[in-house]
Amino acid sequence: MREADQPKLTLTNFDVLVAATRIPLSAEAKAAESREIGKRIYGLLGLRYEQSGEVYERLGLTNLARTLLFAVMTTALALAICYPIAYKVALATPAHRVVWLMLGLIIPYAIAELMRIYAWTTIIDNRGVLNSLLIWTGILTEPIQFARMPGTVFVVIAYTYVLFMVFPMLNVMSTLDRNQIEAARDLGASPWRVHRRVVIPHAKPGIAVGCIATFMLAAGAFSVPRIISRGLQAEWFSQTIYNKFFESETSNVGAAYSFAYTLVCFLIVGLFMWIMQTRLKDFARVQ
Amino acid sequence: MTSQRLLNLYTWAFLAFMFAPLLLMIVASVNDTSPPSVTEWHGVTGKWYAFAWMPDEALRADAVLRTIDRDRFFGCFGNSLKVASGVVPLALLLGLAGAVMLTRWQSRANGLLWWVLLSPMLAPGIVLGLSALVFWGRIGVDAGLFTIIAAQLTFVAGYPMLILMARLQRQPVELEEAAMDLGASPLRIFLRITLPFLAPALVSAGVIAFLASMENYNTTMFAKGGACTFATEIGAMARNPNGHPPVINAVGTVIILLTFAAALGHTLLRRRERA
Amino acid sequence: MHGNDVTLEGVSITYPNGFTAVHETHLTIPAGEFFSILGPSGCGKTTILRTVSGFVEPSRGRVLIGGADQAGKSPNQRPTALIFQNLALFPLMSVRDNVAFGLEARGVSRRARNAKAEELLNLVALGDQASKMPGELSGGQRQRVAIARALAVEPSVLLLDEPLSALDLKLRKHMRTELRAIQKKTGVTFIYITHDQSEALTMSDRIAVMNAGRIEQVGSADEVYSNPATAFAASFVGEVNRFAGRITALDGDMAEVETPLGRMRCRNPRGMKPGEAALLFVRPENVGFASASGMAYGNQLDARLERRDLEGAFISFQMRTEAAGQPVAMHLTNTGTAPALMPDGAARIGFACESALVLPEGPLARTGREELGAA
Ligand SMILES: Nc1ncnc2c1ncn2[C@@H]1O[C@H](COP(=O)(O)OP(=O)(O)OP(=O)(O)O)[C@@H](O)[C@H]1O
Ligand SMILES: [Mg+2]
Repeated sequence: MREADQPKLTLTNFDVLVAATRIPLSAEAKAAESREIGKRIYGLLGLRYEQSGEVYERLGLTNLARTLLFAVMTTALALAICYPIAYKVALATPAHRVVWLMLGLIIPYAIAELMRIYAWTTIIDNRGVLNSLLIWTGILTEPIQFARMPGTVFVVIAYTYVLFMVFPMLNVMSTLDRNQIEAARDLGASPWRVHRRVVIPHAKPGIAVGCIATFMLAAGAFSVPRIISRGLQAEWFSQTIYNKFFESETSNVGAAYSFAYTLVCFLIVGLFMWIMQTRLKDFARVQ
Repeated sequence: MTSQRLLNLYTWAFLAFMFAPLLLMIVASVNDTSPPSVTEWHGVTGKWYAFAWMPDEALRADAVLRTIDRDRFFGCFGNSLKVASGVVPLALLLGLAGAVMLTRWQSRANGLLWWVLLSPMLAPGIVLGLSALVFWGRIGVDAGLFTIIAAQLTFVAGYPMLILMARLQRQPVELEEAAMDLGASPLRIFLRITLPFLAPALVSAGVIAFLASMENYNTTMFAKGGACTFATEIGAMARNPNGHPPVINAVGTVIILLTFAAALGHTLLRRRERA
Repeated sequence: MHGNDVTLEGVSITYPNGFTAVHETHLTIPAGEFFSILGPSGCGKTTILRTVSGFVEPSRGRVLIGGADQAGKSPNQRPTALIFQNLALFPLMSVRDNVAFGLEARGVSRRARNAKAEELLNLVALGDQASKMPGELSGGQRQRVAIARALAVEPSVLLLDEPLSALDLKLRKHMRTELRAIQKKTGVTFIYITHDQSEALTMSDRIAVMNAGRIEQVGSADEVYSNPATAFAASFVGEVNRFAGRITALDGDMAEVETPLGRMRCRNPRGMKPGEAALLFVRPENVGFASASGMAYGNQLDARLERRDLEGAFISFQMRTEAAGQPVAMHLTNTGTAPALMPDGAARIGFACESALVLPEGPLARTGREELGAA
C-alpha cells in the first residue's frame, strides 16, 4: 500500500521534452515546408523526420533550439550595437560631458522593463507608427502584422536588454588609461588595430559579463514575447514552461522542462566563460 | 576626424533608438483613443491620468476605463510596495554578508562559494520563480506575496552583493588591520570602518534592488499564485484583445518623468558637490 | 608609557603557499630600545613585524613581549601598535577620531579619549589640526597622525614599517629627528623597518641587517658599519671596495690575503684559516694616495684615475688598478690637499691594514653600480 504512494524517481517527465509529434500536413504544404531552410536545419539536427509518409517533429526540442538561437542572436546584436557606445562613453568623450551621456543611458535603464516593452506597441501595431509610415510612403498598401513576426520579438528583446550589455563593458573600458590609446596611435597603429590590441583585450571581462547577462535575460525572456506577440506566434521556451506548468495539469513536465532549460543555459554560459577565459570574479570587477 | 564624427552620429542614433519609444509612449498617453496610438489623433485628454482619482460615476461612464478594476489595480501596486519593503532590506543584508564573505574570507571553498552565490544571477528568471513556488509549496507555504519575496530575493540579492563587493575590493585591507591592531573587536571594525565606507554603495544598491523588485515580471509571474503585483497587473492588461488601455501609457509617463527627474537631480547634485 | 622587551625564540615563518619568508631567528630587543631592521626589498622585514604584531603566526618558535608568550593572541590583544607602510589612516574619521579610535575600542569615555587625543596631537605638534580629515593633511602631517594614533593606546612596543618612505628627502630627515625625540620622550620600544641605510644608521640604538629571510648581523651603527659580520652586511651598509682572494697566512688577529692585485694584509675578525677563499673589504674613505699623504700604507697598489666627482664635503675618485683592472672607489675629505690628478693619470694608492678586513664568501647586496656596469 505505502509503496505505491511513495513518489518514485523517474525520467519520464523528460520524455515529453524529446518526444516527437506527428505534424498533419497536406502534400503541398509538406513540399513547401521542406524547402524552408529552418525546417531543413531541424531535419539535419534530427529534430524533424519523415516516417512512412508522415512528418514528425520534436516540438519541445525545436522550441528550445529556436529560443536559444534567438537568445544567442540577440546577444550578438546587442554586442555589436553596444561596443561603439561603450567605447564612445568610456574613452572618446571629454570627462565633463560623460555625465550627460551616462544620463542618457541610465534613464532608459532605470525605467521599468514592462513600460519599455509597452512603449513598442504603439510602433508595431497594425495601425502603429511603422505601418502608417510605410503606407504613407506608398511602400505598402496593407499593414504588416508585426506581432506575428518572430523578428519583432527579437528586436524588442534586444531593445529591452541592450543596456545590460553596455554597462559592464563601459565600466571596464573606463578603467583603461586613455594614454595607452594615444601611445598606440603614436606608434602608428591604425584605429582598427588599436581596438584589436588595446581596447578589446582590456575590455574582455566586461564584454564577457555583458554577453552572459544579456544572453540569460534573452533566454529567460517572458514579458516580451507575452506582451508583444499576444499569442500570435510560436512560443518562446519560457512561455512553454509557463503553459506546461500552469495552464495544463502537467506541472511535473513543466518542472522537467525548466530544469533541462537551466542545465542547457548553464552549459552554454560555462562554455562561453571557458572560451573567453572569464572568471566569476569578473562579475564583481565590472560593477 | 571623420571616424570621430561617425561615432558621434551613431551615438545619437542609439540614443534616439532608446528614447523614441518612450517619447511615443508619452505622446500616446494624452491621446483620446484606445488602444494607445500616435498616428490617429483624437484630441488631447487627461483622463488616462485622471483615472487615478476620478469619481466612480465618471469612471463607469467611460467605455474603456470601465473595464479596469481600479481598486484591484491600486491593491496590486500596494502589494508591490509590500514585496519591495521585504526584498530590499533582506537583499541588502544577504548581499552584504555575501560580499564580506567573498572578499574578506580567504579559504579553499572560495571558488565554490562564488558559484553558489552567483548562480541565481546566471539562471533564467522564470526558473527562479518556479523553484520558489515548488520549494515553498512542498514546505506547505501557499503561493502569494511570501513566495514572490522569496523568489525575487534569490536574484535581487546578487545586485547588492556585486556592488558592495566591488567597493570592498577598493578598500585597503590595512584599514581593517589597523583598527584590529588598535584593539577593536571584529564587530566594531565592521561598524566603524567597513560599514561607513560602504554607506554610499549601500544606498545605490538599495535603489537598484528596489527598482529590480518593483519592475520584476518574469520571476514574479511564476511565483505569484493568486496574488498580484504592479508589474503582473500591468502585464495582464496586454491580454486585452482590443489592445491595452492608455492608462498604462499614463503610468509609464509618470515613471519616465520620475526617473528622469531623479537621475537629473542626482547628476546635478554630484556636479555641484565636485565644483 | 613604558617599553617592553621583545624576544623571538627560534621563530621561522612559512606562508600557506609553502614559501619560507623568515628562517629560524633568535633576537632579543631590550625595553626602550630604538631597534631597526635593515634589508633589501622582499627579505622578510614586514613579515617579522606582522608576526610581532600578531597578524601572522610563526610556524615555529615563540614571540615573547615583556616575557609573556604571545602565541594565540590576536593583534587586538597584544601590547603592540603597528604603523603601516601606507599609514592606513581612517579616511572617514577626523584626525581627532583617528587618534582616539584605539581608546574608543577600549570603552574609554568620549571626554577622556578626546583629552588624550589632544595631548598626543600636541606631542606631534598637530594640536591645531584635530578637526581636519586625513585627506586634508600634508604627507608629513599624516605621518605624525599615524604616530599619535599608535601611541594613544599606550603600546609598550611600537612597530613602524618604512613609515617615511613616501616622504621627500627633506621631510624625511626632519621626521627622523622627530621620531627619535618621541621615542626618547615616551621610552617605548621602537622596532623600525627600513631599506634606507642612512635612516637606520642615524636613528637606531641597534640595527639588524637582514637578507633573504635571515638576520645576518645585529649591532650598533658603528659595529655594523666598521665591523660587518658577513659579506652581505659589508656590501649592503655603506659603500665598500671588494677584492676576492685566498688566505695565505695568519699573524695574530691579522691575515695575509693573496689577491690578483697582489698580497694584502688585513684584519681577520671571523678567524678564517689559511687556504680559505675570502673577500677583502675596505671602505672608500679608508683608501688614500700613498704619495701625497706621505703615509706608509700597509697595502699599496698602482691605479689610474677614471673619474673624479666633487660631492661637496668630499671628493670621490673612481680608480682602476693597473693589475687586474679592478675598480676602486676613494673618498677624500675636501680640504684642498688632494692631488690634482688628470684623467687617466697614474697614482699609487693604499689603505691601512687595520682599516680592511676579510670575510668568508657569501651572498652580496646588489648595488646600483653593478647593474649599470653590467648593462
Ligand atoms: N601572504 C604571503 N604569501 C606568500 N608569500 C608572501 C606573502 N607575503 C609576503 N610574501 C613573500 O615573503 C617575502 C618577504 O615579504 P615581506 O613583505 O616581509 O618583504 P619586505 O622585506 O617587507 O619587503 P619590502 O621592503 O619590499 O616591503 C617576499 O618574498 C614575499 O614575496
Ligand atoms: Mg615591507
